[in-house]
Amino acid sequence: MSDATPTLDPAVRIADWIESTRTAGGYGGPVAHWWRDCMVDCRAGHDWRYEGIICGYLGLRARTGDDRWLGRARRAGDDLIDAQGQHGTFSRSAFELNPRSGGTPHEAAASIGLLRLALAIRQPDPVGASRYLGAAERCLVVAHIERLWDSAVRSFRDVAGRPSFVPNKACTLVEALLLLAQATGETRYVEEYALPTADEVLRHQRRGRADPLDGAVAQNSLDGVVVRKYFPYYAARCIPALLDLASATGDGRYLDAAVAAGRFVARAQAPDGGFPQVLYELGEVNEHPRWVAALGDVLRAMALLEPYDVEWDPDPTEARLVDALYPNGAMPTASGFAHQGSRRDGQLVEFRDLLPVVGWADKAFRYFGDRAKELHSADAVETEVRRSCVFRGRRGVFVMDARGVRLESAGRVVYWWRYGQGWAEAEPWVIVR
Amino acid sequence: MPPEAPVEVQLALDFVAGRVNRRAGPGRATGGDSAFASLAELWLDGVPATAGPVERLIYLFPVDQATARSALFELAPGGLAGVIAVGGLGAIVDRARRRRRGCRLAPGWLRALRLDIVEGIGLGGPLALAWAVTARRAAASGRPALADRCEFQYRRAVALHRSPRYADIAVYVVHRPG
Repeated sequence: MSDATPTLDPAVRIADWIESTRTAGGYGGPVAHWWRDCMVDCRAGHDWRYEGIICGYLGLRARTGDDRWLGRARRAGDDLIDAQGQHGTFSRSAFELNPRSGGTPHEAAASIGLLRLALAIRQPDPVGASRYLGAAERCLVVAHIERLWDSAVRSFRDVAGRPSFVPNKACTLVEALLLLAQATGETRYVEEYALPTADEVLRHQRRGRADPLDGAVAQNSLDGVVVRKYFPYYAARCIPALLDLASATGDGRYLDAAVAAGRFVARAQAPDGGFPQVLYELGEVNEHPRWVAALGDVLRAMALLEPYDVEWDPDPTEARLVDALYPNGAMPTASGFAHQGSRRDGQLVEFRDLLPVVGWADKAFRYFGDRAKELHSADAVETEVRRSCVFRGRRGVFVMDARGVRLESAGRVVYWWRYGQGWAEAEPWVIVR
Repeated sequence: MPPEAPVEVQLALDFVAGRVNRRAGPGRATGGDSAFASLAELWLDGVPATAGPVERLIYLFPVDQATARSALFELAPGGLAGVIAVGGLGAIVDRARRRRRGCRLAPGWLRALRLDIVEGIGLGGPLALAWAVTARRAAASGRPALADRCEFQYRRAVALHRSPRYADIAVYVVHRPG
């Protein structure tokens, strides 16, 4: 679609790269994350990447009126329908834990994509819309309400067999339930599930004027014990749902919580526009990796807070995102993977920093798809990218070209994700150090 | 739904699946029990073959040598199998964690089945176990920053022991000569 037609850039550039990752059943590729990586299994994943991909294409369609973008959104929705199993879950929906299914918040996020697509097309295509709505409803009812709802504490568990709660994941689910209520007219999804779940999120939020972590949201609780880790990125992921609930119910507590979370995120912003990975009590910090592509989610959440009293400068964060964009539209994932879990700071560039991951790039894509203002053509750029890096203690070169992404070390290719292939080739040490 | 794979099992399955699935032909995934089998199946491309010889096999934690022998006999000439078994230190790790995942398979035993060992690696070991325990204790005592640091050390230690003999998990990619 990057022909002579005036289009939106950089959203279109990212879209071009995202399309290059298509493989059997959808969008594939490796995953690098804070908790784990999924470097070898590059088969299509049906996780939260579909939230940003579908919403990004819907955003581009809204900006341009071009139905070809809608066609891509529908194809992504069809991927999810084809990937849905009998229990409402999607295959390979756990991102860094792929190829597992039943991933949280991934299936709720994918359902958000399906529901926004259904709402976008139900006039003039109610039959088509009902397919996407039906898939989202099956996922949310069978795979979430029936499997994860804990009626004793009136919130959703993160894992079925253990009392567990993850506020940012719950917020993604709340967003999905609000959309489901909107699409079906069934308010019980809000009253019985979304509201009590959001109340549990509020109980995980720190409040106090003198508290340096005021507005931060604890990462999770296990067996009723709150784990006091505070990720700015995940606080941002809570904001859209809280604002949606405030709008739907008029309850000022949710707006207040969203604003407080936004102020926490703003305070955590570094001069270069990045954010530390996680803050703890007593001023402890785990700085790395600092996300790049995922900043799209932060920018989107903070943009939603524009009407409210949150002091925030988006420019350095947006510049960090735009400056990082590769010529072919791929987005690097982060900086500082080499220093993950270390108290030392440093400038080493790690392979996973440079690695583009669909399930992070979709966040930038959605942000630019919704908000890009400059209209000009974007031509596909097939420049080879070569960057020096380290990985697992060895020096190497990150290489990205039209065939895929590879790591070269000691004069040979030691890792190669070829676009369209389900499995990356990797030397043993790349997988297991 | 299959159980969540511990990090070392996920790494092991990634390792073998990335090799085994590059081959075409009928494939099968199996395990020492139904949970391991359903977990291994996630890493197998395509619809699993229900009967007959296979070109691709992923085998997670064989319960004993007799059943392992039967499963590996199903590997067709020219076929490739990824076998994940308890390593030389796995029994100690299992005792510490009060569980049993299956039996050991020595390289010599695999060769006796007329299988060529293409690759053999070990994952995890005492150091990884020590870091895992420390991370859990730090988390339980309300020290999440320390718990995270220990968790990263654990992940680094998981892959420290290259030899299956001195590792928690032994991973072999074997080939049946055709």
